[in-house]
Amino acid sequence: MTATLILLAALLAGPPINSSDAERSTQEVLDQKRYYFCEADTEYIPGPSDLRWCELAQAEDYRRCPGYREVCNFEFGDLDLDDLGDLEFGAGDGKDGETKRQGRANRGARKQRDPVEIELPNLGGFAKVLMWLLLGIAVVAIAYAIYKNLVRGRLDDDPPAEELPPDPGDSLLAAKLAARKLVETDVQRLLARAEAAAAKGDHDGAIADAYAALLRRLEGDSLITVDPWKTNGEHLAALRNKAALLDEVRTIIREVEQVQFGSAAADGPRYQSVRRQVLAIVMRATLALGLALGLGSQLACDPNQESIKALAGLDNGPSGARAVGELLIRHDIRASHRMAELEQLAQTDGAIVLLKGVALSSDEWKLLLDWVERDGGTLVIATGGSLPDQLGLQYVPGEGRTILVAANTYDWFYSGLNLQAPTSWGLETQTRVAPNTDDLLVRPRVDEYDPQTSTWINYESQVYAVEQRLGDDEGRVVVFASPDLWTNASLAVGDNGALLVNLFRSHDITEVEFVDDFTGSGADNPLESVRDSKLWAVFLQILILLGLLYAAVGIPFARLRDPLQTRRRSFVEHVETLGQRYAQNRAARHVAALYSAWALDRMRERLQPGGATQGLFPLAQAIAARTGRSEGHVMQLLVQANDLREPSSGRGTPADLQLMRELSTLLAETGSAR
Amino acid sequence: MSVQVFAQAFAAIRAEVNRVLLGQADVVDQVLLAIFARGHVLIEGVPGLGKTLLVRALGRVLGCEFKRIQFTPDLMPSDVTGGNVFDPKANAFQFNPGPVFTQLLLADEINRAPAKTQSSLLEAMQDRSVTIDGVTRFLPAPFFTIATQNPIESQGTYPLPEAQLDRFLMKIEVGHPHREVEKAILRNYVTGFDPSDLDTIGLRQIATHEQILGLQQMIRVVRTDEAILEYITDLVGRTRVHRSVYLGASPRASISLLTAGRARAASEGRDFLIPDDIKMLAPAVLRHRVILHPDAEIEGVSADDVVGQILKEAPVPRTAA
Repeated sequence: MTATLILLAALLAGPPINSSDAERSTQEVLDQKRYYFCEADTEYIPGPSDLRWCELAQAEDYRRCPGYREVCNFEFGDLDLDDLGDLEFGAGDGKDGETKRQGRANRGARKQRDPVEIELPNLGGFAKVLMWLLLGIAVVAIAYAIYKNLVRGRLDDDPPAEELPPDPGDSLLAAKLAARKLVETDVQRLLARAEAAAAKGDHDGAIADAYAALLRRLEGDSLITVDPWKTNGEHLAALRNKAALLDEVRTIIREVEQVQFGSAAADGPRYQSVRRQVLAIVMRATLALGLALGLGSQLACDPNQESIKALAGLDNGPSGARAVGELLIRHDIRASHRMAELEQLAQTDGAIVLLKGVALSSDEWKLLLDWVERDGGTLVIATGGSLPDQLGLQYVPGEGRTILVAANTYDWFYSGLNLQAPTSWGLETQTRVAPNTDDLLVRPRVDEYDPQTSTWINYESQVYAVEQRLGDDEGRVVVFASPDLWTNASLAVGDNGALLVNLFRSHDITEVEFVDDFTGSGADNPLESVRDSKLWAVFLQILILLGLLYAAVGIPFARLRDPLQTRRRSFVEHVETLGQRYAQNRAARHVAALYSAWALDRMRERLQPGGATQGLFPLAQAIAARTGRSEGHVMQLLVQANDLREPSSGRGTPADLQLMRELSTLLAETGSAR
Repeated sequence: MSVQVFAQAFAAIRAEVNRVLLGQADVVDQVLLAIFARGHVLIEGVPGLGKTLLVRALGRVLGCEFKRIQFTPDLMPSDVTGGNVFDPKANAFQFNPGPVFTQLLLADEINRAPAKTQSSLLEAMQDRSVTIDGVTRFLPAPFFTIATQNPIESQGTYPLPEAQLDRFLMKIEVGHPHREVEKAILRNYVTGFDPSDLDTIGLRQIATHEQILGLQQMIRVVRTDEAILEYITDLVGRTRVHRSVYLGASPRASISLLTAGRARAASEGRDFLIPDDIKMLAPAVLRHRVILHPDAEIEGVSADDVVGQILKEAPVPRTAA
């Protein structure tokens, strides 16, 4: 029966990989730099379990993994092995791994971790009062800011009663009002708006929107900058280094301008013409971007590399399993490191390999076995830990042999392979519980002569791996007595690589998922990630802060703001500043005296050339005659100005400023036309 | 169709003049636009930049009569316009026309003559006629004045009054040519180019003055959208409210901007005006019509700065921004 099934499976499956092919591909895998422990002169610091393959690799002179020699000869010296982390020396010792590790494949176990407790420092009485005072002030300030903004918001919501409608002739005001409007800058939305306008028959607006989309696309490509004061000619000038694009854009601009400023009618065909040309440029830019991104991704990593990325979670060390995955990939078996929880088995098609150290709850075992039985999946158990009772298997102490052979010598997938594995536990089957169980790999019976004791030692045949069929849908469970074969280092010995590949090829399995400690530890979505990282409180605070900021400032983020324009100070500002400095030094009266003297001299020069000594009255008469003012008023101003010329200790009054203004007016009126 | 004819003629004339005047394509363009817009041009530039050569070449290419007046402090108005001279034989006053009676007039260093003499050109430039002793005599058509002034020298010069300045359609500033252009000019001289003899380079007459008059009429067909009128009004209006400006541009400036813009549109074969036409010509049309405040002048602000700032503030009609 078994032989029939094996023959049938062999006929259905692809041919087995031979040892030479497997060796070549294994060598290629191990030659990669990521397997640092295989590099010559490596300085890899091994853990205890990394050394399990040393004896077997040494027997082959480390030919496939030269650096492993250095690893095996590593002098631990003062290193404390306890610090190396992984101290589980006897993998496959049959102990219950569930008690040693809180299995990461089990989310429930993770949730049981002790919460982190944060204790606030014990503040003194004054410090506490100060803290609460500061908190109170902050709360009041925020509340005030919100209130103020709300009040301002209500004021802003009121109709602008004082704002008169823009005068059509006053384009400055119109421009300011227009500048307040939000301008659509999104290319796709502009195109959509153009389509909508065209559908409504507004072809003028549609052409304008389509053209705007073109400009925004060019702006997005940093070819032009769109400003309200820029003309189409300036946009073309900006494109002068892009000859081909320049011609296309010029053609579009001509067509648009014929509609906007010329006598051409804005109709459907013209809009379609503009749109077609705009789309040609816009879509080309999008396509170019897409091609650049696609080509970049193609250049960045080939498909094989992408597949290998799916193994990133697996370890590269001798005890890791990444090289095994890579070997499978090289033989067209999609291998990946499973990050999703085991609860999502329904999405899995192919095989699942439970690696060293995975500890599952009884529910998870049940789930897996149900999946095998119901969906016809393949489950490879190489945990070295406890096994579910349903399998009817138990570990038995192993004996000093490393060689492995196929239990069925006619199985062309496994027979003839040079298989080796470090000494470990064996398996024993309870036929009553597991009737459909076949031995897969066994340690053969060996009779060895011990020269030290001068005796013969007999090793009985011992099962190393079994295959159990479950359900009617060809589901099967393969159990290994130890996880040793499923490590990177195992590939350095014999035909172990071929065995692992053929294990799946024999049943035409093209997809394999590796389950280890980290399976299920990833989040399925960002919210779950935040929850797992316990960052809810931080994010909540940030959101509240942003909300408060929005409420306080009242302006949505990312709105475009005009940069502050720096401008040169005007002459008037210099004069004003100078005047303020005089005022600050209480020299206003002094300034008024100087100005009055200067003004009187200028007026005499203009109106009484050569007669500066004639006194104020003739000057007042001349000014009155020139300006049409009353002589009395002018005389009064001149007398006040003349009085200021006398030394005075006064600090200056508003009347001095008024006098200066009057004198300035007189100067302007008596002066020649500019 | 007529606009296309205009564009072809414009291109031919421009190409021919540019054969003589190297490296001054923009100046040639603006001068030609002013001619077709029936305007006059004030060229500001240091001596030796080919201003006289430009006018002579234009006269040859356009088939127009050319005369030159060198303005000096003792130049009298009658030296420009001409006057009545007593003829003893006829026992009567005979009108002796001055150099203004021409089609292309080069008023060289116009700011060296006093205001009275400068003003003798006012009527000629505005009405294309000269009135002497109550008799008005019309100038030959087309009449076009190119005046030059040196921006550096201020001693012994008389700044043009605002009324005179306003009658120039454009004020064109000419700078020194680039190094390569200057080498090309030298190369021309080495090969025998003589600016006093335009026949040596075979400068051809492209048009007759009758054709020039016809081309001047063609620009009237250029369509002007309401938005363009608004843009022109906005630009000119901003010169009047600019903080650095004492006296802004007049309505004549708006008209000049419009006509010059139409000429530019026609020269490019367009029968409609676009904002580019206005914006490109605004500096040349407005810079001499803007009188700055003294404090702005003290700060080193120039009319070009003001116009440039206005052009960067005034929104262009129907833009996507």
